[in-house]
Amino acid sequence: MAAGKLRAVAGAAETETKSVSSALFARFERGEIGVDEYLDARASEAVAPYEGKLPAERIAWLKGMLREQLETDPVLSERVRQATGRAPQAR
Amino acid sequence: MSVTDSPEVLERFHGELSLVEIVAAQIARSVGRSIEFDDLVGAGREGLLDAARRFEPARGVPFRAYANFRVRGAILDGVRQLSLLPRRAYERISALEAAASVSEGEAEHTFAPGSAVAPSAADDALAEHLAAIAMAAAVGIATETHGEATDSDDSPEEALGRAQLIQMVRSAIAELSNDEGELVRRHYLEGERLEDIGRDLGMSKSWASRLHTRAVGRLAKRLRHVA
Repeated sequence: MAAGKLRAVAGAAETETKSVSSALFARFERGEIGVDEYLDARASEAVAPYEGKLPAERIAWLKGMLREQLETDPVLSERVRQATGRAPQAR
Repeated sequence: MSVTDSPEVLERFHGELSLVEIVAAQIARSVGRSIEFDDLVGAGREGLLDAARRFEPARGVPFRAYANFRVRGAILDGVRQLSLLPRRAYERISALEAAASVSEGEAEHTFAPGSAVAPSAADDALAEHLAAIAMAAAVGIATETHGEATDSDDSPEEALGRAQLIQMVRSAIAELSNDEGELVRRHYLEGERLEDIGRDLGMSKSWASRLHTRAVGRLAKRLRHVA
């Protein structure tokens, strides 16, 4: 794919992804989903581009690893605190 | 510890000893091997002492956060030096190393004074940072070649998927700036250490770390939309 076309596809898709992403946070803010569900969804979203590229067992491990990082990685847990007001337990 | 360590260094070290066991337990769970826990703790304590000595409060990152990365790095280095592990264990170590490396480059920005943001902006930052970590970890898994292959390792279809992912990364790297592209290519595709590449490019360790995180964030955005 030519670089220009790649950028155009990326730009359009980024707008769509942002809107899906914002919708998730809006659901959390309205109380329709809890913190755990919100973080689970964020981890699923992050690994989605690699499904079909890595074996399913690696994807499952990667998702679990990211989910744990959301509670243990200093940068991610600080962002979780800023977004949700909750300091992860395992910090 | 050394008799020359200052009281501040010793206070930092002793004040965060509990962090070592927390991180060691996380890594033991993640790597999923019967690794001697005491070995992990020993390596982690060395990392903690190194962190206590190198810590620069003026950078604005809390010591516990800074030490978390140093302890994690020391333990993962220690696990790598164990006798030959299965390929899968090395893949997990690579992914954990990549995750820590991406986050470390974002720490100063995240903890900078006045960096508090509105919840929706924090959510955006969280999603982007998590995507960057996922990309780095996925590529770490896809490119890991150490360790003994087992019968349960890749089928031809799975090997093709890995090759496609690596090719996508190569294509996306071509859109990065020269320094970013070189840093990412040499680190992820050629297995060189970030600090060694940074030195070659005339960068400080901390600048190479921040540039790496920025480059991975850009790559993740592109891959998310063409995958």
